Amino acid sequence: GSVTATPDKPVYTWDMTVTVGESSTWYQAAQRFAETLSRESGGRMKLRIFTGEQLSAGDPAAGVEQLMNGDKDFSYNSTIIYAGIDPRFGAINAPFLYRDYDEADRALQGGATAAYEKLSSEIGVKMLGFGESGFRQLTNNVRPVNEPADLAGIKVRIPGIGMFTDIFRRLGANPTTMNFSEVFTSLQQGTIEGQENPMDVISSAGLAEVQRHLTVWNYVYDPLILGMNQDLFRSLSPADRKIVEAAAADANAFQIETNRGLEQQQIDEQSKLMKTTVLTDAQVARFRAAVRPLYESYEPVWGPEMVRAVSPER
Amino acid sequence: MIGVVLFGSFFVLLLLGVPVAFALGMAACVSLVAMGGFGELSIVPNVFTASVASETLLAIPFFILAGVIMEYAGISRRLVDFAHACVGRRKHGLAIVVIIAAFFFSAISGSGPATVAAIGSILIPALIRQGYAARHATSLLASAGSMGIIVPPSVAFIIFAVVVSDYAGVSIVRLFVAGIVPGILLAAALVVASLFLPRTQPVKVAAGAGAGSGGGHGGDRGDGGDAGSPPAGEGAEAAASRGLGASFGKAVPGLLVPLIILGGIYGGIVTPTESAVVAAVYALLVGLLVYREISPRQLYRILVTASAQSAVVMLIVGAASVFAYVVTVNQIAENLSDALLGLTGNTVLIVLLAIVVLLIVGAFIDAVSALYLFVPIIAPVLLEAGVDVTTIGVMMVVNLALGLVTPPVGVNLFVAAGIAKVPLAEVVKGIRPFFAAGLVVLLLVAYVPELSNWLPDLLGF
Amino acid sequence: MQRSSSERVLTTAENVLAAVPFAVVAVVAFVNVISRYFLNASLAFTSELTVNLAVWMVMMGAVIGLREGAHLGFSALHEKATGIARQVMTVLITVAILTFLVVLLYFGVDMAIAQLDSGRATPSIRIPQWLFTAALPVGALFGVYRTVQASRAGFRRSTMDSQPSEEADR
Ligand code: NA
Ligand code: NA
Repeated sequence: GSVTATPDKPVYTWDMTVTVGESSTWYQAAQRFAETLSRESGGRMKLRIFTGEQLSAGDPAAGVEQLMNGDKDFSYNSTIIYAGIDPRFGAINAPFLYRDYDEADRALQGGATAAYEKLSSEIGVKMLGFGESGFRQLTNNVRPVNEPADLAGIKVRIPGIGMFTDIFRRLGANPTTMNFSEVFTSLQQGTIEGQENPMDVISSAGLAEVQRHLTVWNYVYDPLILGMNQDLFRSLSPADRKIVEAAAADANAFQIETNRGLEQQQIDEQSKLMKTTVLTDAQVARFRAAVRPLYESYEPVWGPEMVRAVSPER
Repeated sequence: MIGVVLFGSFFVLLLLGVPVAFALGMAACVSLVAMGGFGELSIVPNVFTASVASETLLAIPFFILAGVIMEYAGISRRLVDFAHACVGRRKHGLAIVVIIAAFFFSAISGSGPATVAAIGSILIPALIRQGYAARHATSLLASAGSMGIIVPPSVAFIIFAVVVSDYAGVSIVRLFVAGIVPGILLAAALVVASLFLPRTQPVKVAAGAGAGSGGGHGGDRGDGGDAGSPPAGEGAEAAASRGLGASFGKAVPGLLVPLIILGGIYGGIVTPTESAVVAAVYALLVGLLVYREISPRQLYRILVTASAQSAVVMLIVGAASVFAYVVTVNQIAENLSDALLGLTGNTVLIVLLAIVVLLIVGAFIDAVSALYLFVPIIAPVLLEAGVDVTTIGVMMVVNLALGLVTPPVGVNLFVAAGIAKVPLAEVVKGIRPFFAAGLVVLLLVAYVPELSNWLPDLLGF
Repeated sequence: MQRSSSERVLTTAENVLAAVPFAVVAVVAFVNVISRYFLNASLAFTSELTVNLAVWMVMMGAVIGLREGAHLGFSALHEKATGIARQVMTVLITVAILTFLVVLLYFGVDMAIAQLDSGRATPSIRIPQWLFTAALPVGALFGVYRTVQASRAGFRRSTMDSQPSEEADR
């Protein structure tokens, strides 16, 4: 039924975007968020969800700008996209920063989440916690990648952020940027020979059809910011803020749990379709050593505060 | 409600005579203000720049640049000469030369009017001298030029791939390959139609007197011929009197361009965007070093011309993206799609309905605008009806290619009329047989998915 | 056509602001292909430059389009109209084009200022983003002038007989 707005019970219609499609855990979590908001507010909070960055002509960075200036209300966006706007956001995407999810979780609870909330606030975004795209893994057609030398000369498609170029150049690969919609065909044609993405993307895009080798190396941890326009958040009544924050926490917890559950399943499935190597700690250590010099050049970019906040508590 | 404001104000502005790009942008602005006041307009520059600053769409200016360079380099004229040497001596040979040359140039150029302009300035006067009425000469050129967006490379397929990605994924490369067979079909259909053209006794004119003089005029090209266009060549008739071998030799650098573009993409060497820039550089080298028809100082002029031509398309992309934003936030396309699906569940009828809608739309607006406006409405309906995305792409592009030659807004007609210096109405009088030929191909493509899918499947795209 | 020297300067400025970004984009993109395939050295970071420069190319190219009447549209009714009706239509067309340009100008300035304030720069080369966004207000400003000019001429220069930019020959 319809809801009547009164001064103390305003009615809202909000827009939210997610970068990926309807089959993603991002979208499922956004739907759950919408349902919770509607239920807990007695139907006063309506959330419309748009996939594929449809509100910004497919451009996620422009989508974050919309969130910053209030043209849009909510979004799930990777910190990698935020780093395109303010490079300090890239600190948590540092290469080989965390070994596994336990380590990442400890860092998030130990100060990283608070640091990102503060950082988001500086650009006009109220961060309602982290979701998760997961660890990014590598596929390619040239050879199994077990150590840095194996990447030599491989043409790898990467996100259009400077740090990713530097990581792959450092490792001797030949990185290139490309619209994701062209990746499948380009892998098939050989225009590119490899790519890196979270398991969910690798699996749902069916890349195994055009890729021979999968390397599970957890090289970049990729959290999602559930962001809300800050002015909008501040305009809410304390009670409504609580509803939004609780619904967001529930959606994030659901998203992370679903994503991690699926990831192991996806690794199992994909390893039947591609020759899969899960790198040992010793192997990962060699990669970490190879990219170590990057930390020196990027730490000034991220700033000491962010570097400290994301550092794993070993 | 917003949907009525949006589409209503768009069509009012369009009919008033506001250029399509500005009508799209303005209709979107009016709707945004209606949705939530002037503050909503802050979305406009955000969406505009996001849509224009796209790596995929960079292919469009590059393909346009390559086309302009090739015209200046004299490549198009040599392609015409070669086509003429192949078939020019037969009855109706010159008409067939037009179609073959247009096919060659379509494999270089990504746009319809560019194709008409490139070969029209040479071939329209030649056709008229051979006894064809101006209305037939111009309408033949305009129709043959519509292969420009069907035969790869194609600006229309690039836009389709970008816009349809919200509903179904298909790569630009697959669409490019899918356009080849329908392109050949259209060429064949146009040949058949041209065999029935009436002709009077040829006018005797010294070879080369008129042919090849002047570049393409007007259209959306923003460039005329005269001072900066390629120097007058030998003329098609003269070429026909020389050997096949000689003209082939001269045309080889031009004939290599499609090989570089398509071979480069299909061979996995370059992306579509990169292939376009490689083609432009290659054409430049041919023009500077092989044919020596481009002087370095002409480069500036080429760049100005190409940037204006690209901007005409890309401004539509930017404005149409703002328009599409209003459509998306108000879920207008979904409502229209549902309404369409509610009309009938019969696939044959739904496809026919889509064709009729696009024929009407194509009469009034260009292919790029039409794709931004109608892919979100039509593609989900056709997908739901079980049509595959490749067929949808080819069908919509062939449909809108017909729009290039349907009045009142048919860019190819404008360009052909401009070259021949005849009134638009005169060109329109001659278009019927070619339009009919195109319609047959459109129906075949729409109802026989194998025509689009066979080649890309065979080659594994 | 009589052309004042200020007109010539303006035309040159428009052409240069469109042609130079185009040339840079094309050269950088080509060098990227060459370096990737022949030198095996990626210049992946250059894509943020080429993609963003396209905004300048588009805005200034669109101004040339306004100058030369190259923007496509349905002009049949406007051409047929006479007298007051035609004048009214001319005014309405002008207002529509100008309004869209003014939106790009006003909100483009807003966006550029917001980017300037937040210090947003391209991810790899760190070129301030507002330098690209500035193409919107700058292009719109040139566009406003060209629209008023075309309006005075009654938008008579249809797409059919548009002339080449004479300046480009020099
Ligand atoms: Na083409
Ligand atoms: Na038309």
